[in-house]
Amino acid sequence: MNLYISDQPMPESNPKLSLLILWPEALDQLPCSLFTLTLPYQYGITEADYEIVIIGGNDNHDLDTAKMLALPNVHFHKIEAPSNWLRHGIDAGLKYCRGDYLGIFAGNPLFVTPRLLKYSLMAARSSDRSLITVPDYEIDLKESCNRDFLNSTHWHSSGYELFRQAKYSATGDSGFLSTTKGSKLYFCRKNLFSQSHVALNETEEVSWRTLSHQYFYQIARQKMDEFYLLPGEGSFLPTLTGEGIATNTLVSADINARPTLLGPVGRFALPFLQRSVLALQESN
Amino acid sequence: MAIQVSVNNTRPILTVLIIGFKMPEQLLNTVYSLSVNYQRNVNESDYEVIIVENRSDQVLAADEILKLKGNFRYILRDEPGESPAAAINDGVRVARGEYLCLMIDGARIASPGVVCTIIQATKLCAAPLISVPSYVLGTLAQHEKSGVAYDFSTDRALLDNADWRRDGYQLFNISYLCESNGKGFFFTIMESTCLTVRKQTFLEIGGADERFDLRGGGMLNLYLYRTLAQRPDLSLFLLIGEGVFHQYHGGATSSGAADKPEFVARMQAQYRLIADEMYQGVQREPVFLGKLHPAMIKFLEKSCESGAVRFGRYERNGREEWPHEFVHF
Repeated sequence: MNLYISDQPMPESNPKLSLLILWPEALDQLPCSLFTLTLPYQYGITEADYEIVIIGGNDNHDLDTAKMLALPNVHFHKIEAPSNWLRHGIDAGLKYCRGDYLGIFAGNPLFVTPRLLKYSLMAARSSDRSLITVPDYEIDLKESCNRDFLNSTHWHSSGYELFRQAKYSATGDSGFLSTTKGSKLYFCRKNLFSQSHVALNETEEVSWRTLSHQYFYQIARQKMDEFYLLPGEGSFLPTLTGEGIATNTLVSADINARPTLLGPVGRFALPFLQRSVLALQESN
Repeated sequence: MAIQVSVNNTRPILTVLIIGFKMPEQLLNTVYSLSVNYQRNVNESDYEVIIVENRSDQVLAADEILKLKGNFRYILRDEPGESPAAAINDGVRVARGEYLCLMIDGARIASPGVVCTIIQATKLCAAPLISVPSYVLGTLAQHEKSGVAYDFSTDRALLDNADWRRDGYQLFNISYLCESNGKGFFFTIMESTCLTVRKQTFLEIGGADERFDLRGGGMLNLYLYRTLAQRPDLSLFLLIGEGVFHQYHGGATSSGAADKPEFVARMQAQYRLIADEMYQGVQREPVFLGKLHPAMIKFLEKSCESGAVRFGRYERNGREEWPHEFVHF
C-alpha cells in the first residue's frame, strides 16, 4: 500500500468529531456529498469542532472539489492498494482521524441535513459511550423530479427540503422509532470502530455495500450508555429503485433499546416522525 | 422551621426547588415523585430537593419526608402576602446545585425520568433552558364541564387506580396536556411549570420579581419563562418523554372559582405594568430530548397531527415556524 499525505497542515488541537470518507473513485463525484458536510451548509458549529478525512484512490478532481479540499478542516489522503482497497482505506482512515467520535461514509454519496453535525456533537458530549444514529432515507433517481431537484442548487440553502424528495430506506420502512435494524450513518467513539474493524478483519470480508451495517452490527453488540436518535435530521442516499440494500441481506442489529430522541423536528421531517409514531403505535 | 434530610457535602448538579402553600397531600405526592425511591437512573448525590412552604393552616407533614430516600431540605416560612415570589428567592439563596429546577406550583407530580433527563440535558450544552411538558390529571371534559364537582378526591381516586408510585409513567394514561401548551410539542411553549437553568442564570435575571404579589404569583411564572426564553445564549430543550402532572388544589387559576375572569384580568394588568407589554409566547424551536414511554406516544401522535396543520398553515402564508429562534454556536 502506498500512502500519500496531503499538504494541508493539521491543526494543533484535536476536533471532537471526525468524518471519515472512503472514496476510491474519481473525486469529482464527491462535491455534493462533501458540500453537505461543510460550513456554511452545516450550521450551529465551527470548523474547529470537526474534521473531514477523505481517503481517496484517485485525486482527479474538479474545481469545486479542490475548493472544499482546501478548507482548513478537510484533509485528503491518497492510498493505492492493489487489493482490499477498502480494508486498507479504513486502516488509513482510523490512523488519521483525530476526533474522539467518528462517523464513516463509505462509497455512498450521502447527503445530510444542515444540523446533523451540531446535534451529533451535542449528543457526543453527554457520555463517552454513546451511539448516535440518524434515520436513513433514499431519493429515487428514477423520478425525474428528484434528479432535477438534486441537480438544482435550490436545496443548498434549505437542506431540510431533501425530506420532500425522500422515502424511508429499506432498513427503516417501519419508521425509525421501532426496532433499529441498521443505519448507514452513525457516530460513536473511534475506539469502538477500531475494535469492530479488528473483529471484522478476523471474521468476514468487508464489502462496500454493507460496510456501514456490518460495523453497526458489531458496535451495537457492545454495551452503550446511551443510544441517541436524531429524528429531525437525515441521511439521504440517491438511488435507483431496487438498488438499496435489502433488509434481508443484512445481519440485523435489532437494537431494542428505546432510543433517546435529540434535536428539533422541523416541518419537512415531521411527516416521517408522524409515520414512525403511527408504526410504533401499531406495533404496540 | 427547617428540616434537613441526608444532605451530604458534595455539591449536587441540580437543585429542584418546590414551592408549596395549602396543599399538604398534593405536595407530599410531588415530593415523593422527586425522591430517589421513585426517580430512575439517579443517585442521592446527583441532586437535592428544597421544599419551601408558606405557612398556613394546612402544611405538609414534614416527618413524612424523613421516610423518603433523597437529599431533602424543607423550609417552612411565614409569608405576609399571597405570592410565592419571596419563597422562591429564599429557596434559591440556599440552593447548592449548579442548576436550578423551579417548580413554582408544588402540586405537580413528576414522571420518573424527569431528574435524570434534566441532568442529561445539562451535559449537552453550556447554557440550557430545560422545560418539562405539563399535564393535568383527569380529562379536559371533567374540568370544563360546569356543574360537575371536581376536587382532589377525584384526583386521589385516579391516582390510586393508576398505581403511579410503582410506575409513574402510568400518569400519562390519566391526564391531558395542560391547556397553555395543549396543542402539543410543535407549538410555541407558552409557559413552563418545571423549568431548569443554571442557578447563575436565574440570578442574572434578578430571581423571582417580588412585584408579582398576587395570589399564586399571578403571571410570575410566565414572566420568568419569557424572560429566560428571550435570551439568545440559552438553548431551549423540551423533555418530550417526561411530564409534570397537575393535581387539583384549588389554585389561583385552576380551581374554577367564580372570580376567575376578574382575577385573570388583574393578573394581566399586573403583568403589563411590570413587563411593559402584553404577554406573548416566545416562538422558539425546542430541541427535543428524551425517551418515549409507550404511555405517552398518544400525545406525540396528537402533537404531530396538530403540528402538521400548523406548519402547513405557516408554509402557505410564507411565515417562518420559529421567528424568534437563535442560532447557537
